[in-house]
Amino acid sequence: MNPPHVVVIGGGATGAAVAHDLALRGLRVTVVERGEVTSGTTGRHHGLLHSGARYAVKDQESAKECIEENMILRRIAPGSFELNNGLFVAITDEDMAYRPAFLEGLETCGIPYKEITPQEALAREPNLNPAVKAAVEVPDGTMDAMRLPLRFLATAQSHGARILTYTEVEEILMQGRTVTGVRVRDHVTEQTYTIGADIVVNAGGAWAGKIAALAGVDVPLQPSPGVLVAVYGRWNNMVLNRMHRSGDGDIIVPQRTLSVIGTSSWVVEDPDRLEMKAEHIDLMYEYGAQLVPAIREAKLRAAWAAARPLIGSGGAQTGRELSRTFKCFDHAERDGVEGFVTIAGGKATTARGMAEVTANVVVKKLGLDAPCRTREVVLLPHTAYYRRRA
Amino acid sequence: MRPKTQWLWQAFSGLLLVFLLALHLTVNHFAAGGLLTYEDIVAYLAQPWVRVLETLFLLTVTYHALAGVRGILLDLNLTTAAARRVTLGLTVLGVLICAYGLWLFTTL
Amino acid sequence: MAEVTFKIYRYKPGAIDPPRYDTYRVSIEPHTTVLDVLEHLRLDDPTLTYRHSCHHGSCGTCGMLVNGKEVLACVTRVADLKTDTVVIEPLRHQPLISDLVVDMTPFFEKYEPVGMPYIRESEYLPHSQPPEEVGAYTRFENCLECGLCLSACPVVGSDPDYLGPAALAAAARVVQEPRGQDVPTVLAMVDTEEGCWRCHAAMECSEVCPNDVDPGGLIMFLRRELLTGTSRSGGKR
Ligand SMILES: Cc1cc2nc3c(=O)[nH]c(=O)nc-3n(C[C@H](O)[C@H](O)[C@H](O)COP(=O)(O)OP(=O)(O)OC[C@H]3O[C@@H](n4cnc5c(N)ncnc54)[C@H](O)[C@@H]3O)c2cc1C
Ligand code: HEM
Ligand code: SF4
Ligand code: SF4
Ligand code: FES
Repeated sequence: MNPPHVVVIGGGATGAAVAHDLALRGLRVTVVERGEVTSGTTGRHHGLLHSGARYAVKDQESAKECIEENMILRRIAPGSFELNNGLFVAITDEDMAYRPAFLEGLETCGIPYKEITPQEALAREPNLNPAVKAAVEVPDGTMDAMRLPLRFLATAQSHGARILTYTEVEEILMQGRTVTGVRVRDHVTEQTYTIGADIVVNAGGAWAGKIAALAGVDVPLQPSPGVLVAVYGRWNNMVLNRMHRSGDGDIIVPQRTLSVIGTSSWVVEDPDRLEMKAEHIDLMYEYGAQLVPAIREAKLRAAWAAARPLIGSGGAQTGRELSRTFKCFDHAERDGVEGFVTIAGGKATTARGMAEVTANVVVKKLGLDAPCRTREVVLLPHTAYYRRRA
Repeated sequence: MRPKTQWLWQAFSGLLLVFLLALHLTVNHFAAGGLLTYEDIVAYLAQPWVRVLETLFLLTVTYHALAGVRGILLDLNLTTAAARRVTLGLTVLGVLICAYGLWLFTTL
Repeated sequence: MAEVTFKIYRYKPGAIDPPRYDTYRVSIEPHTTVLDVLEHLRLDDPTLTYRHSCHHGSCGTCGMLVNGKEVLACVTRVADLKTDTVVIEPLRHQPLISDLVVDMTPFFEKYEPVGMPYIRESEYLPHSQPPEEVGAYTRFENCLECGLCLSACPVVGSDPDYLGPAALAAAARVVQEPRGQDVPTVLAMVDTEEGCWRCHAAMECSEVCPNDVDPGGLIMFLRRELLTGTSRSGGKR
C-alpha cells in the first residue's frame, strides 16, 4: 500500500523542515509554494542563528527552544553558518541595570555564556562603541536565510518529496468537516488542478491566517513586520546585540560582505501589504551607531521589510509584547475540522523543532508509529536542491 | 595538443608577432617612404636575412591567425567530428597559404 | 514621486506563448527598487512570476535584465536608472520557465561538482582577536550563485558545454583556500577545452558580478596557476 500523502502549504523555513521530517518518516509529501521557495518571510529575515540570549529574560520558552535548536543545527547543517559567536554589550547605566537579570536568564535557559572585560570586547571588535561597560559572549551565529531551508528541501526531495513552486493554493477541499486536499493554480501555465491529501499542513507563516480561513477556521495570528537595513562591509565579525530588553535596531548581524542592522516592529492586517517605512532606515542607522559608531558612514546596500508570523490575538500594538514561540494547531481538536494542521509562529532557528512537533501530530492522526529522525540526519548541501530530478 | 599548450603557442606567437609585425611594417611601409616599386621589393627580398625573417613572419601570422579563428569557431559548441573537420580545414588552409608564400619567394 | 513606465517580458508555456511585453505605469519613491515594483505589481496580478528571497543582494535569486543589463532587482533602485522607461527581461543563456523565472539547474550542474565550501575565512578586521573557541572568524563566500555572469558571457551563449565563469571562479576559490578539498582534482577539472582555456577574457562576467567575485580575473588566476604549476598539482600528468 502507498504511504499516506501529506500536502504542506508554504515553502518557507517551516514548510521546508516539515517536509523533511515527514519524508524521513516515510510519508509521501508535496510542498506547494505560491512563489519561489523562501520568498515569504524566510528569505528576508535577519540571518541570526539565535542562541536564545535575546529572549532569555522576557520569553524564556522561546529562548530554550533557540539554544536547543542552535546546537542541533550545528550538527545537522555543518558548513551553513558563520560561527563567530555573539556579544551582548552594555553601553549605558540602564543597560548595566539589566545585566543581572540577563545573566540569570542565561543560567535559567541553559545558554552557555562567558562574561569578558570591555578591553577584551574591544580587542575582538575594534569598531565597538568604546563606551562599552560590560560584554557577554554567547553562541549566536549567522545563517544564510535561504540556503539553510534549501538544505531541508534538498534532503526532503532526496526522500521523494515533491516541491511545487509558483503553485498557489486557492481552495481547501472538504468533504463535510474533513479536509481532503487542495485546489491549486499553477502560475507557470495558469492551469488549476486538485491535489488529494490524507492531511494538509498549513505552514503559511504570516499568511497562515488567510490559508486557515479557506478551511473556515480561525488562527490567532498577528503579522508583525520589521525593517532591516543592510550596509556594505563587515563592521564586526561577531553578532553584536545591545544588552537590554529587545528593542529597535539593537542587533548588527555581519553576513557575507555586509552588516545587517535590525529591526523595527509594528503590526499589519495583510502580510502582502507591507509598506517599507523609509524613515526606519535612518532609525536603524542611528540605533546601529550606538553599538558601532562607524556604521553611520557605511554605504546602504538595501532596506526592506518582512512580516513575522506571531501568535497572538488582536490588540497587539507593536508585536514586541508577543512571544516568539510557536504553536501547532490540530484543527480536529480545536475546530472540529479533520485532516488539517496549522504550524505557525517561532523563528527560522527553531524550524526543525516546529517540524518535529507538527510531524508528531500528523503521524499520530494517521495512526502511524514513525519516530522523528531529524535530530541526527545530516542535511544535503543547498546546491543539491537544484539537482535534476529523474 | 592540450588546450593549455595551445594557449601558450597562441600567446607565444602573438608575442613574436609584436616584433615581427613591427619590423615588417617599418621596413616595408615606413622606412624611407616604404618599398614603392617592384624593383625595390625584389632587391629587398634578395637579402638572405630578410628572407629568413619574412618567412618566420609568414609562418607566425598564419599560425596565430588560423589558430585564433579555430578558437572562436570551437565556441560554437561543435560536435567532435565537426571540430575535427574545422581543425583539418584550417590546417590545410594554413599549409596552402604558407606554400604559396614560399613559392612566391622562389619566383623572384 | 515620479511615474515610470515598466515594460515587462511575459511568457508562460501554452498560456502566454509567444512571449509579449506588458506595460505598466508605477509611481516611484527615491528608495523604490525594481523588485519593489514587481512586488507591487503582483498584488494586482498574481500571475506575474519572478524569483526573489532576501531583498538585500545576498541570496542571488533576483537576477534579471534591466534595460538590457544584468542586475539584481533588489539592489537596483529605479531612480538610479535615470530613465522613464524601464524594460525588464529574464536572464540570457539559461532555460526560461515563466516570465522572469529561469531554470538554475544547468548552472548548478556545472557549479556543484567543483565542491567549493560555502564558508571561508573572513579577511575583514584583520587585527581583531577572535574568541578561542572560534579560532578564526569565518564568513560566507562572495558568490551568490545568481547566474548574472553566465547571462553576460558571450562564450556561454554560444557553447553550452563551457564550464562558465561561476564554476571556474568557484574552482579558483578552492585553489586559493582549499579547506580540505583536493586541489589537483579541481585543477584537472578546469584544465580542459571546456574549462578555463575556453574563455576569451572578454571580462563581461566581472563587469556584471554583483558581489565582487571577479570571475574573469579568477579564470586568469587559474591559467597562471596551471602554467606556472605553483600549485600542488606540480608534476601531475
Ligand atoms: C524582520 C524579521 C527578522 C527576523 N529575524 C530572524 C532571525 O534573525 N533569526 C530567526 O531565526 N528568525 C528570524 N525571524 C523570524 C523568521 O523569519 C520567521 O519565523 C520564519 O521565517 C517563518 O517561516 P515560515 O516558513 O513559517 O513562513 P514564510 O517564510 O513566510 O513561509 C510561508 C510561505 O507560504 C507561502 N504562501 C502563502 N500563501 C500561500 C498560498 N495560498 N499557497 C501557497 N503558498 C502560500 C508564502 O509565499 C511563503 O513563502 C525574523 C522575522 C522578521 C520579520
Ligand atoms: C601585436 C601582435 C599580436 C599579439 C600580441 C597577439 C596576441 C594574442 C593573444 C595573447 C591571443 C590569445 C587570446 C585568447 O586566448 O583569447 C590572441 C588571439 C587571437 N589573435 Fe592575436 N595577437 C597579435 C596579432 C594578431 C594578428 C595580426 C591577427 C590576425 C591576423 C591576430 C588574430 C588573432 C585571433 C583571431 C585570435 C583569437 C581570438 C580569441 O581567442 O579571442 N592576432 N592574440
Ligand atoms: S572573461 Fe571569460 S568567462 Fe568572463 S565573460 Fe569573458 S569569456 Fe566569459
Ligand atoms: S560569480 Fe558573481 S555573477 Fe557569477 S554567479 Fe557568482 S555572484 Fe553571480
Ligand atoms: S532577492 Fe536575494 S539577491 Fe535579490
